[in-house]
Amino acid sequence: MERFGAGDDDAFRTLVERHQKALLNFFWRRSFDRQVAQDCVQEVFLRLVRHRGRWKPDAKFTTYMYRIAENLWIDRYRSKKAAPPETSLQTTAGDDGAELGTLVASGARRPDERAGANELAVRVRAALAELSEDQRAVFLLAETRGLKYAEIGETLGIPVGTVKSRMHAAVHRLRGLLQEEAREHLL
Amino acid sequence: MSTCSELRDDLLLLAHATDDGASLDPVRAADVRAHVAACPVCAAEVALLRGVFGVVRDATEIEPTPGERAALLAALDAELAAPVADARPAGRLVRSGAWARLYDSALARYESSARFRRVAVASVVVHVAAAALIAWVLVSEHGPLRRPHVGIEQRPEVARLEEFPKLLGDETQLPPRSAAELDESALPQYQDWSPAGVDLPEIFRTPTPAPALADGQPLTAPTVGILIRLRAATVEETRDDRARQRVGDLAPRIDPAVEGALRWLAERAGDDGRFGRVPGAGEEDFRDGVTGAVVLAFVQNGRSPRDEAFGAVLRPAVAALEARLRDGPAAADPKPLYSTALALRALTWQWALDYRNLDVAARSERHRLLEQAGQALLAAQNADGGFGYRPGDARSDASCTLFATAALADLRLAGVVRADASLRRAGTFLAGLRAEGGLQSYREPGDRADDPALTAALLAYARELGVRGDAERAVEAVRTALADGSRRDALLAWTGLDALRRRPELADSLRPVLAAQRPDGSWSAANDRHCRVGGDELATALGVLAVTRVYTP
Repeated sequence: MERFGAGDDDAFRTLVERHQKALLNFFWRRSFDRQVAQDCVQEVFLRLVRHRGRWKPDAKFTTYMYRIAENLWIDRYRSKKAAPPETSLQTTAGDDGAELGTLVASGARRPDERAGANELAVRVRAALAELSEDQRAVFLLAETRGLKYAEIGETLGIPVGTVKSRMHAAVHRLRGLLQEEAREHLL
Repeated sequence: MSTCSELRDDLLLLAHATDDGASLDPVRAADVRAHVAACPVCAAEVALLRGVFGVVRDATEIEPTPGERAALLAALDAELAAPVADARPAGRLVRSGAWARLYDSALARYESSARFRRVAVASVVVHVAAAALIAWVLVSEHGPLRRPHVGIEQRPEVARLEEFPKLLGDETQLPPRSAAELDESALPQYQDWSPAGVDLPEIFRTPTPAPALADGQPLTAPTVGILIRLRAATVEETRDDRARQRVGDLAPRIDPAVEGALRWLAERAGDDGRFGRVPGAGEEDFRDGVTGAVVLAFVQNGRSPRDEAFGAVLRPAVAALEARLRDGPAAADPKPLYSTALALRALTWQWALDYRNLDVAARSERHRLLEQAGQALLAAQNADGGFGYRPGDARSDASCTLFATAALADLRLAGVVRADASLRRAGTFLAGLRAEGGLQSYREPGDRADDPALTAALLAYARELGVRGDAERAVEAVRTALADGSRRDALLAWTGLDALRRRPELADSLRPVLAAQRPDGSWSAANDRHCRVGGDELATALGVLAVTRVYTP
């Protein structure tokens, strides 16, 4: 990011390569709407380009980027109440607009596996929908992006203690809902 | 040691691999780990929590499609071409003076009018309709974005190993260079991704780093796996110890055999950097395959294009392999899958070896090249799980499948492409061609079922292929074939020593391979079962790779 701020556009393409998938999944798990997720990813990167001079090297880039992502999500889909359904229980994992390649790449590689993966995906979505929006934000930043608690606090503008309590609440709720699936996953 | 209830909060951090060690201070972490190791209840709890994280991640993860990547890059390119936004006014044209005030006033009145709202709504409707029409045309039957309809069995299943950074941190320092730098708490994380049977703490404690790995730059986590092997194969102390343990009195002969062969090979680079015989009109051209094997032989012994002795030979050879992967096979290449697999393997190892000496752009460029070539390789997998001699060849072959397996295993080790299910399907195909006792056939059950080179390759990659590879009859067949000094088979030397590298009979099997080396350092391809097209250069490269197995974990 530092190199990009200094005018190196190729450095930005490297950032895109590195973070596109993670950002896509971040928004996907918030919306379970592929088009929304893709639009949001594009908007985050556009904001990074437009505000390239604002990032300070003393801040961790991922924290900075996810702060933009979280603000975008709040602005666009939460505070304006324009969010798509938080979970698409009526649809299967294959009905989300994802191309076949996505299903394949995400693990559903044979028809029999795919059917099982679809059911599992629906159960997991339902479990995530049981979390409050605040718990989900913390959980997804921690788990799917690997941000540390202090970084999540910085991203969301909340104390580390609050991050910790929300994370515990989220994980233990999911633990109760996905116990069987989690055990199968470990086999 | 703490009690279960005292550690309740910390178990979550421990289970949450990304925060493992990051949110726990080292002393606390050690305490928690010690407790978990001794307490089955807490160990089960940590395992269950890990399962929760894993199932959420795996069940909901999606990949950006090529179309999404292209759309994103196009949007960003357009933005990058524009002036920096912070320096320009948002929204309206810059105007000044009385005309500007008049204009703004009129515009404000217009924007608030009912007519403006009607026009705005109509404009949005027209734009949306136009966009939908364009999108429909693009993705329609013959539109440019229409993806070819292929069955699931034929889809490449590619996933970048995003979970590696999640376990090891976005950027992970290389294994420590000395005991003083060793972070004991990090070892279990490395151990999770290490090749089976490797004692990572032992490797990391070795005091001398490989020269190319010695600077302090961070390394992205995915290449840790391959570096572990490189380090074990190239760090002098580790090599010597391993060789002594495995082959006893033959250990001192390994390095001279390798060095002699590498010197012999270096003198045979062609004008275009490639190795192998220049074909005459109408003859087969296997130079890309030979060059891949030669570069792999250098790189697996720690010789990179930056190497003082051999760099001048390796740089054009590596460039030729890059061109091979970019541009596709030569028209006269008789078996393009072999050259693809060997080029992929050579460039994957060289990428890992040189990683820290490459700038970000070069790292990314090579990563992209390897990933694309890996995807193309996966796309060539047939519905039966096997691979043919060339893309589109629906007739699968055991040898091609094993070469592809080796390349995919290396790409996985390097964190470039994960194709576990593809490998398992390849294993299913190969299992169908195995005779009782694990002997491998070529294209049909019973077809050259005694081929020990393929049997050995199957044994060596049994874990990746998900097949049982410990059949004693197969091991015995490989061992017997290697002991038969009258039989020239450089491929067998390589795959056989790979399969037996951790077995006690390794020294006996190595002896005839060393004995077949000529005084000038080369191995002969005359009457060789597999190297007739590749010639002495290929036989010699495979000879180097064979004896190097002694060092490999």
